[in-house]
Formats: sequence, structure tokens, C-alpha cells
Amino acid sequence: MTRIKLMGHLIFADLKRLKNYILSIIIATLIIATICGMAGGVLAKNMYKTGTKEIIGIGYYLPEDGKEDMNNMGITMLQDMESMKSTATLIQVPTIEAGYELLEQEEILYFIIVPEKFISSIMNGTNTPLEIVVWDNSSVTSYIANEMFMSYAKYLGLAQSSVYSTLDTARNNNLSDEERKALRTTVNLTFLDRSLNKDSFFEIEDASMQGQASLLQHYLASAVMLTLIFMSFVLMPHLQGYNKALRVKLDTFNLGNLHILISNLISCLAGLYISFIPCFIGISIINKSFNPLGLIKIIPSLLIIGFIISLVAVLTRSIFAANMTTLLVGIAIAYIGGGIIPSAMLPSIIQDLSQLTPGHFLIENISAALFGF
Amino acid sequence: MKLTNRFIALEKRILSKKMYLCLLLLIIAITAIYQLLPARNTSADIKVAMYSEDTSGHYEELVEQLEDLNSIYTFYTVDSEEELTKDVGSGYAQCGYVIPEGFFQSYVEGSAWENPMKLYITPSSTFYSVINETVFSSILSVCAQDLLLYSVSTPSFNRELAEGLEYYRNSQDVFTIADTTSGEFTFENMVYHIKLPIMEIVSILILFSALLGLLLHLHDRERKIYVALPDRELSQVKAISIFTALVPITIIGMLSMAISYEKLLYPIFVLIVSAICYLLVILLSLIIKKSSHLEKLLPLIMLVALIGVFIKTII
Repeated sequence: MTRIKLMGHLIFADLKRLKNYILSIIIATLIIATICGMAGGVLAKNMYKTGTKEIIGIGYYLPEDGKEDMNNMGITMLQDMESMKSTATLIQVPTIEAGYELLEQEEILYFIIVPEKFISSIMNGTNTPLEIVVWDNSSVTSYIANEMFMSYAKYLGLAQSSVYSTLDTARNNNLSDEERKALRTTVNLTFLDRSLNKDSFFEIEDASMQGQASLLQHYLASAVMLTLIFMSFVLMPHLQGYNKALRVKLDTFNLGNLHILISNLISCLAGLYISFIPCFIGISIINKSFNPLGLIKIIPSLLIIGFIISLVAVLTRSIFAANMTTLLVGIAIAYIGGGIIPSAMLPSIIQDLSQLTPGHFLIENISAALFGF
Repeated sequence: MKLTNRFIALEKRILSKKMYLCLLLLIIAITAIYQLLPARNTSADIKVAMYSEDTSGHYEELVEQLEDLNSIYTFYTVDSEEELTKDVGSGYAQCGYVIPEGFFQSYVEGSAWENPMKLYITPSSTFYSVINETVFSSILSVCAQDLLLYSVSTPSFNRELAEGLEYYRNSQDVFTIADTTSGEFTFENMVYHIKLPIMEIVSILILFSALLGLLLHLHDRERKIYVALPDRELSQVKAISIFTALVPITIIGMLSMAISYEKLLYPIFVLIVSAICYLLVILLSLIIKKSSHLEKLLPLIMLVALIGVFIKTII
């Protein structure tokens, strides 16, 4: 019998033996995938702790100066700003004394006393000063609120400077009243647009994304990777099933460790594929999308994991040692590959290494297979 | 006497196992590392990363202006978008801005929504909407002259308009706001000792040792070492096997805790963990009768324990 034919028999016999493990593989997959998947879900939710920010109370007093419409318009504009919405609550007080009381009770951090005809003073350039009373001017919160007010003032100051400059230029060049008004309106609207519509000038990107995958998808891919690696707990008795007598017999046909490794790799690949299918179905149901190409895309990952498991099976002497080695190797692969903590949070040396390790490739490939990137 | 002899014999055996000695050395190593770890500095300032592909020259002006601000935010530039996402993703920066090519030009012309900046954030970026105000007010300041000339659109007025704008923005005639903060808040570096989850690691190793004790006992039984013993004594040997596996690691663990935390509470906690692990493994031994079963289950138990500890540390 030729060596190739014998090798074929060995592979076939190993695959036949694998039939006895199918139920164990499916049960183990369900258990390990549930544990790892749940852990992944918890991590994805908690890795970036949602910031808790104190909403600052800002009190304001508006005078009864016959310009209530203008004052209210100003306040509405302020309230509509995203930064104000997310940082502060504006509270109108009926009297200045009531504002001071709220300050004392620490209900508000800032108290703005708007003087009479404030808006018209901005329009005509008199700029009657606002009085801002601060309860505590040394905390981080007050610094942030101060920063916000300084920015608003900068918008206003720049717009005013531009309007005044336009009016001066128009006057010096003897433009008519109508032309002057038209120019002023144009400049006013331009600066108003750039100050108020800034939310459309940027797009928010999620820096917690891992390539094309969201953090949850990344952790689910990592959970599937770990499930496949830990399938060795079930496959190891099968892979280490060569007793001394069998080894001696194989040796007489010149079939050594390398041939056993190849045969192991093939049956391991089959075992891992059986394990991947429930994971694939589960994720497809969770994700509400089915990506049949994923069943082919996954093959490189299965080959790598199969090779690692087969190598451990050949290099270790007992099932216990093999299982403990796979546990440590699996966790190390996942950690260095960014599957436990996102790559950006790893120490810089490991970050540099991460791109070169199988873990990084495995997670990316499994993500692609599961989510169709 | 028989009990003591058994205890001594089993203790000798467990201490001759290389894996067990490795566990003990691991605890000692972790304690030493913890003691030798340098104190870590952290700063209370809020970092904002900036990266630009724009070549109009406005970016340099913007960065200069942002850096000159007496701000609670520390703006800094990075060399690539990848570096910026890494900084934001790792939590080093609160958020990061990527300015595309031609952004300032489109901002002036009012078409920036077609060529928007990218603002990178994470769920823990709390202050980005307020930081936006600082960034955009500075962008307006940098582009103010171009914006004014663009909106008036009369080239013969350009010089006069620019001079007028420069005059007014530096004068007292326009609206300004006085800095209300006292300057008492400083970004002093806080120094703290890096925390390692030693307690959790020791707990896992104690659980592992107890399981190892049970595994060795099952191996012995399968080798028919205790074949002559009656059932009652066999149970006693099993209990002693698990106990002997726990004694050295508990002592080392208690010492490690006492050295690391210098509080009596932690060594006591180790003792409680050991007692719980002992009971758990005794219960497990009622279900698992074969070493091959435990060999398969042990990595799974360790995996669950590791995941539990990791999640606890993260949360």
C-alpha cells in the first residue's frame, strides 16, 4: 500500500471517529458560545462607561423693558444650542432676589442678570454689560460653563465687529441707506448661519468602532473565536486518541507525527466547522441578517484555529495539559488580538504586536464571515 | 495519627507537582510586581486631538489660537487620523477633530455641510458638545476676515473691511465677556498606585488548586491506590486531598494580601474564599467520579471564573 493511500485511510478513519463527537461539539458550542457571548455583550456595554455629566443650573432674570419679544428670542436661541441643551438648564427667575436665593440654595451655579434694553444695546453697539453672578468659580463645572459663555461671546463679538466694519465701509463709500441695510443683513445672516448651524458642519464618528465592526459585533466575533479555540476541550480526546500500539503500527508504514498532525488538522477542521454552524445561525438571528458567503469566508480562520489545536494536541502528553495549554493560548491570542480589551486600550508594545498576531486576523475574519463586511 | 500522616504524605505529594509550585510562585511574583510598580500620574485636564488634511494655512492659525486659549481643554495635534482614533478610542482624548481638505474654504462659502469635519467620540465622551463651541468659535475667529469679504463680495472694499474688522475685534466696542473663573482650579497631576486585581487572581488560583487536589485524588483512585480502603475512609482521603491542595496556596495568598494591602481584612477574605472553594469542590466531587470528566470540565470552570473576574474588574 502506498504511503499516500495509507494517509488517506488514516484521515478517513479519523473523520469516521469524529461522528461520535458531533453531539458533544454542539452542546459544548452552545455552552461556551453562550458564556463568551454574554461576557462579550457585558463588556461591549461597559468598556466605555457612558459619561455622567452634571447638568448645570443657570438662572436668568429678564427685565420688563418693553423688549420682552427680543429678549425671549435671544433666550430661545441660546436654549436651542446643542451645547446648552446638553450642559445646562436655563431657569427664569421673576426677581433678582429670587435668583440670589437659588444661588444660595445651590439650585443654580450661574445667575445672569440681563440689563434693560440689552438686545437693542447689542444692535446699536452700546453693549450694556451683562452681570453674571457665579456661585463657585473654581470647580471643573464652572470652568466648562465659563468656557461655553466665552465661546458664545466670541461669536457675538466677531459678528458685531464684522457688522460695524461693513457699516463703516459702506458709509465711507457713500452707499445709500438701502444698500447699507442690505449689506448689514447679508453679513448678519452669514455670521448667524456659521454660528448657529455648526452642527451640520461636522459628522460624528464612533471611535469605539473596531474597523467596520461595532464594539458589540467585535466582541461577538471574539466570543466565536474563543468558542472555536475552546472546542479543543471536546476535540482533544479525539485528537490525542493515538495510543502507543497505533503509533508503532503507523510508524511501520513510515507515518509519523507530521502525518498525525495533518490528519488531526483535517478532522479538527471538520469539528470546528460543525461548531461554527450554530454560532453562525445564532448570530444571524441576533443580527437579523443572513450572509451565506460567511460559511466560506470562515475557512481561513478554521484552518488557523485547527492548526493551533492540532499542534497543542501533538506537543502535549495528556488531555489535561492540552486543555490547560489551549485555555492559556486562547486567552493570550484573544488579549493580544484586541478581543478582550479593544486594541486602542492595550499597552503600546502589545498594540504594535497586535497587527501581526493571529488573534487580530481571526477576529477580523470572523467579523467578516458573521456580519458580511 | 493516621490522619496526620495522610495529611503530611498528601502535602508532600502536592508540593512535588511542578504545576502547583508554579501557582505558588505566580502569587509571589504578582505580589512582588505590585510592590515594585511605579506610582502613576494622571492629569485632570480634558484632552482634545486635532488632525487636518487642509492645506490652506487656516489650520495652523486655528491650532495656535486653541493652544493659546486659557482653556480647561488641552488641544493637541496628531500626525494621522489613525493616531487620533486610537487616542479617542483608548480614552486618552475626550474627542478628536479631523478637518478634511478644503474645509475652511467650504466653511467660508457656506457649503461645509458638503465637506464636513469628522468628530470622533466614544460613549464616554461627555463634553464634546461644549468643546464644539470652543472649536467652532475659534474657527469663526480664524475665518472671520474671509467670511466678511465673501459676504460683502465687493473686492474694492476688501482692504477697508479687513482693517475695520481688525480694529473692532480688538476694541472695547464689541461684546466681550470677562473670564469668570478664579484660576484656583489647577490641573495638578494626581499620583496614585496602579491597582492590580490581586485578590481576584488569588481567588482563581485557590479555586484551581482545590480542583487540582480533586483531580489528583481521582487519578489515585483510578490507579487503584485506595482499593483496600472502605468507603468512609475513602471520603476522608478525598477531603484531605482537597484540603492539602488548599493549605499552601491559602497561606501564601494570605501573606500576599497582607503585604499588598497592609490590612487584616484581606487575609481573612482569602481564608473565606478558600473555605468556599473547599465546599464547592467537595460538592463537585459528589457529581464527578472520573478524572477524565474533571479534565474536560476544569478548563471550562476556569474560563467562567476568569470571565467573571475580568467583567468584575471592568465594571
